[in-house]
Amino acid sequence: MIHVVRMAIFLMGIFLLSLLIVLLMNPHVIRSLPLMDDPELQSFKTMFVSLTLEALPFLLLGVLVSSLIQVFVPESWIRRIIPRHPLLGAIVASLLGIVFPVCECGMVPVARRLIQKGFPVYAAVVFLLAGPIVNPVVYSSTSMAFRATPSIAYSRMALAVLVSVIVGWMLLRFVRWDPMRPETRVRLRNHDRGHNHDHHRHSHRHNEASSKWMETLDHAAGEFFDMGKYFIFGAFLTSIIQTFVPRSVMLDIAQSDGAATILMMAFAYIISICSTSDAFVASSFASTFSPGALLAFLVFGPMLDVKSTWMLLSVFKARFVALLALLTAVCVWMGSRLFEMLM
Amino acid sequence: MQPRYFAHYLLRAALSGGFTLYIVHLVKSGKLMYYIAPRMETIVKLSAVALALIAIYLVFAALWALQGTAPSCGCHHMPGKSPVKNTVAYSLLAAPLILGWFVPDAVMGSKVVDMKGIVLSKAPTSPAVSTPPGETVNPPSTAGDPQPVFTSDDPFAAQYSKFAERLFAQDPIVIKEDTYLEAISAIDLFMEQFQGKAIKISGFVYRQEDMSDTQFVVARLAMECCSADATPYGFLVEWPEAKTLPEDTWVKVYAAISSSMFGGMEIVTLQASRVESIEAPETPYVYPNYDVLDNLQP
Repeated sequence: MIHVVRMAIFLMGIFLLSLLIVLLMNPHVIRSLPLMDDPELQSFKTMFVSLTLEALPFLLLGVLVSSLIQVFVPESWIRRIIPRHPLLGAIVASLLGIVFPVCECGMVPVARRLIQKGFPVYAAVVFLLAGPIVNPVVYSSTSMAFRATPSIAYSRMALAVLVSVIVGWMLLRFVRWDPMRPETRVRLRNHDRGHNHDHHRHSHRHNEASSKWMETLDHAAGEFFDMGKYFIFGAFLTSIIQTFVPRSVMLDIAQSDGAATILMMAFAYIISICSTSDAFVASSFASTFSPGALLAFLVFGPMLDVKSTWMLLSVFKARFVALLALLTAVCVWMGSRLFEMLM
Repeated sequence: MQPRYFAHYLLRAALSGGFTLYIVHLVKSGKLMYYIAPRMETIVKLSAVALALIAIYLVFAALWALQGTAPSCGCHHMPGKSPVKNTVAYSLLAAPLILGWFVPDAVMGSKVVDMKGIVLSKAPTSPAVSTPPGETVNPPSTAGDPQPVFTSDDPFAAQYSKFAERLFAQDPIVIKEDTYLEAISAIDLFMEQFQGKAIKISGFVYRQEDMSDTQFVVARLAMECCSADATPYGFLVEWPEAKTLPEDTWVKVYAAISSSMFGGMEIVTLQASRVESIEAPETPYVYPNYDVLDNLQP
């Protein structure tokens, strides 16, 4: 009986696979269906594909760097980068993004890898928050978009450093439990064990150096698929929001500047734009919102949005992510109100 | 080292390879710009190369898995056993490819503009000319006034002075694609000085619900890196036959610059003398120009 069922499933699988191959070779069959002309479907697809494509290079770069760190950088180095003193350590961590300018999509795999190699967790969080903002690429795109008001560009950098250091310090002081998801820890242990184990079974077809490159590639490929599925889900959600929720719903003018600031933060969270181009979007609101609200948009968005929340959840426990989000939101709000008074 | 990894490696190789082929397809069919701004094209092409390398590696890894040999250290990043989780995960990864391949490529148009909201005026403050409420249209002032002065107390507007002067020197003012955003900003910021000037501008037709039968917007979508940040810009056009123009069709508008009250703000309004249908341009979107404003030739 089992044999028959297995046979049936197998044949079904072959049939479906052949169908898929035929369809792939003849896309016009599907493309010409009237359903495909639905403008909302097309908008959604454009958004979704566009988000995925523009993030691919940064995701790949992130997993590549993460893998290189895994294979080539000894733990002793990692532990030595961050000064012992928490405040100093946080400041150094917030500036690390300068050497590594990518979207938040690329940062999460690197941060995870650093933690697994002994980087203090609070420093990794500071790096995750400040990295997407405090770098030359984002600085130049911000000053370009706000040509006449350079104060926006350097306020953005300053506020990012301030918020990330404060949040990192608070997490260090108040979080006494392990913030990492169990799988992340387990992987590290298995990995160490596995290395010793497999060396006996290796058919030594490569010499030491090239097998390290193979290892990097193996790690990178695996991590790409690990992180990729979280990222794509975030992109999927973002595309749904961008296709079906009009901006006007999100931007109905708030009564006070304080409320407008919260609004811009919520907007930044929901639309999930990369930090390299969000200045462009913010500049189109320059006439409607106060500089403080714009600053909040520019600082909160890259730190936390639909996509990055999802990716954080793949590394950290939900409780930790919630705490992180809350602290960041409060700090950004207060910080941007403060900066507005000073600007 | 389990042989079931063979299926996973193979599937992952197919997905990686699929992304590579999809990017190549978009580049060859010239449709990549529907999704990505030109400045991002190089790195997206590079990621196609990287994904190809990953795909090739994964095929080898799959073969080694079949032989029962660990490639180097296959003890992590390996998927769990749950068929449900795996199906969801791989479907998510395949989703952009499936949608990308089977849904036709479309240029973003009115539907997207509806969602994002069009920007008809960037001027932070209205100019000194006040229009009594209820009056909808200012008659354009006669051309032939002496060269107006393009100065402003607002530092944002002052940046556009030189560019606005060069624009003003044209007759008619022709809005070019590579300086589109800068040109409409200059005109918007120095609305008064540009009153009465003849202008030629192209875009697609967009209509908002609160527009009258003689109004439409000649719009363009501006993109900086990808469609998520795309923002619609345009000028309001007054033309008696506006109602006959279907949304999303491409037109060239020949008009005189004036202004009117719309949505409680004074905005640039084009009094059209002629509206021609045109072919959709090769490059449907416009991009910010990164050259120094003072040196920019309109």
